[in-house]
Amino acid sequence: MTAETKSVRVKIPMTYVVALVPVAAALNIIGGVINSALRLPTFLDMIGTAVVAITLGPWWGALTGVITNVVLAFVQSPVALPFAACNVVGALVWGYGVRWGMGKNFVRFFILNILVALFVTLQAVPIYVFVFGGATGHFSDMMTAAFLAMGQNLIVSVFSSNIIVSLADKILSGFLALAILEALPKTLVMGLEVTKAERMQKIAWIVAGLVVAVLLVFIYVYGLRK
Amino acid sequence: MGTVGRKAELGAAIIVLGLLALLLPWSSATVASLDFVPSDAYSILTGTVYALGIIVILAGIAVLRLKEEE
Repeated sequence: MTAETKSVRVKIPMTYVVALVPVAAALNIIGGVINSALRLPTFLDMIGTAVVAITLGPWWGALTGVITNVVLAFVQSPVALPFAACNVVGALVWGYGVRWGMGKNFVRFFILNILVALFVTLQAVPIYVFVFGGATGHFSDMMTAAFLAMGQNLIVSVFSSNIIVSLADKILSGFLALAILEALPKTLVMGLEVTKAERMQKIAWIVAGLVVAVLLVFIYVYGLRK
Repeated sequence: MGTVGRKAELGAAIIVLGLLALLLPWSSATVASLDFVPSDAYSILTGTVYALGIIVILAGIAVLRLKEEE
């Protein structure tokens, strides 16, 4: 690693932090709100966390995660606040994982996303079971109920349903974050060993367009109801 | 604006974790009042404090491993 590269990774312009952290938190919040409005079998509240954890650092990602869940607790449901710890764990695994060479190519990055899903689930299961008694009103509760009906105990049922949802969510979030990285200034990512995603930039625009379209439809539908 | 390093990163994260800890009693009381939650406020607070405690310990380890290069 050259001295120039090392200096980029150790010292980050404050402007990037001030600009990126609130935007990433806003992206998480919008993702979380859309997800719960559409009752999707994902979470979508960690895309911004992944972007910040990979580019700025794991603890900046943790900061973004906490801001996200605190805001979601006030605007959506207080259920979101205990899960701030999960957002922090995701940020740490993404941030340290990329810095330990897990982002060098697509295969490693894919494995990193699976590890994020696993660690987040390991953090989430005790919160689900001991804090909420197994149900939070999320889509995965139906799967938990199905596993319980099969004769599994509560911890295994919650783990099984959460890992399925979490795997889909973290792989989606991780690769969307990779696409967003392509749009960021090169100085921000030049010190990092992250795989390139030139083709995914187009997918990111398509996804962004879809998100905006769905958001507009919801605003329209809720507007008509009122 | 200048530049920020690892120390500022960890400092900011620990401050926000502290703010999160301050919100936990409110959150526990609010969550306990929800219909589908069987736990009481004390149990919810205990569970969330344990979850947060693990993160704070990890933050402490990161501070200890911080090199004196800044």
